[in-house]
Amino acid sequence: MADKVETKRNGWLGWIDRRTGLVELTEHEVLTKNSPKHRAWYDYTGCFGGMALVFFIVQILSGMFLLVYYVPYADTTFEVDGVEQTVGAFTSVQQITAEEPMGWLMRRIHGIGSNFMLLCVLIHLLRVFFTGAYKPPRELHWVTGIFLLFMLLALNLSGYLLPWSQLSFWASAVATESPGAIPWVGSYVVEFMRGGTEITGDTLGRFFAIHVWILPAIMVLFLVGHFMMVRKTGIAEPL
Amino acid sequence: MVVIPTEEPENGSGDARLRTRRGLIATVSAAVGAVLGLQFVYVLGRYLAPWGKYRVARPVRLTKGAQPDEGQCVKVKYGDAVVLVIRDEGVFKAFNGACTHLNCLVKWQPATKKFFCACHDGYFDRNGVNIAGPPPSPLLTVETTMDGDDLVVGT
Repeated sequence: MADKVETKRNGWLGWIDRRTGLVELTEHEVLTKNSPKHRAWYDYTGCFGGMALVFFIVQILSGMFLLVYYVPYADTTFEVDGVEQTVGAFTSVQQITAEEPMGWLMRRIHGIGSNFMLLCVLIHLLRVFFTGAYKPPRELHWVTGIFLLFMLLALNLSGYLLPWSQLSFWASAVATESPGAIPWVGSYVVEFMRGGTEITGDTLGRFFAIHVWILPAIMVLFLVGHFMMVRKTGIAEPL
Repeated sequence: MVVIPTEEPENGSGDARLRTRRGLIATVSAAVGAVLGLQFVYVLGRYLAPWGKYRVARPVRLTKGAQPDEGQCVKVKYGDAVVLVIRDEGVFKAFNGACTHLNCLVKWQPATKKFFCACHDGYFDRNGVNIAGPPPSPLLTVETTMDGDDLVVGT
C-alpha cells in the first residue's frame, strides 16, 4: 500500500505528502498555473479575481481580530458601585479605535479592505464580461460569481450597521426601507430585515449573525465551487 | 569571476538555488515577505496583549459611613485586587480577598469570625492566617491608615 503513494518531495514535506498528498496538490493546483500570453494591456486585469480572494482572506482575518473586542448589542448604561458604565457595540468600537493598541489599524484594514474587495470584484466582473470569458463551458462560473457579488454586497451592508453609530443607524434605516417599495410583500421584507418595524438591537443582532458567520460560511462554499470550476475548464484565453 | 549557470539545476537548493535568476528572485521575495509578515506579527501581538491595561492600585478612602461595622466586612476594589476590610474589636484590618490556594474570592463569615473559601473548603482566621483546608499561606495583608475620620486602604 505504501508504495502506491508517490512524492517527489524529500524531508519533512515528503513525510507530510506521503500521508496527506497535500504538498503536491498545493504545488500543482495552487502555486503553479498557466497564465495566458500577453496580448493586450487589459490582460493584466486577469489578476483581479485572485486579488479579490486575497482581500477576502484579509477581511476574514481582520474580522476575527475585531471580534476579540467587539460586542454585538445596543449600548446600555448601568450603574456598578455608584459608577456609571456603558457597554455595547458603539462603546466597543470606540474602544477598539481609541484605546486598543493597533486597534485603529485593524478597523481601517477591515473597513477600507471591504471597499477594495468590492472594487476588485467589479473589475473582475467587467473583465470577464468584456473578454467573453463567461461563454460555454463557463456559464456556471458567471452564475456563482453573481451570487458571490450579491453576498459581498450584503456583507458590506450588514457590516455598515455594526459600529452602531449615527451614520450606521441611518444608513441602515434607508437601506432597509427601500425594499418597502416592492408591491404586496414590501413591508414584510422590511420587517424581516429589521427583525421588527424599527431598527433596534434586534436588527443589530441579526446583521451581526449574517455578517460574521452566515454569509462568510456560504461564501466559502461558493468560492470553492468557483475555483474548482476554473481548474476544471481552465481559464478562458483572452479574445 | 562569477559564473552564472544558464540552466536551472534540478531540485535546486541552498547555494545552487541562489545562483539562478529565478531562484534568487524567489528567495529574495520570500525574505522580504517574511520581514513584512513579521511586522504584522508585532501588530497582532500588540493588539491582543493586555500589557499596560492593568489598573494602577491607588489608595481607597472610606468615609465613616462606608467603613464596616464591628464584626462586619466591606469589599473594596484596590487596583485589580478585591480587598476585604473587616473591623475586629475596633481595629480595621484589610486583606487581599484572593485565596492563597487557587485565587478564589474568600468570604467573611461574621458568625465564626473566619474567612471561608468556598472553592476547596479553606479557612483563614480573623488575622488572615490559614487555619484549615488547602491554603498554603496566610491572606496577603493590605496596609490601612486613619486620616482623621477616614480609613485609607492601601498606599
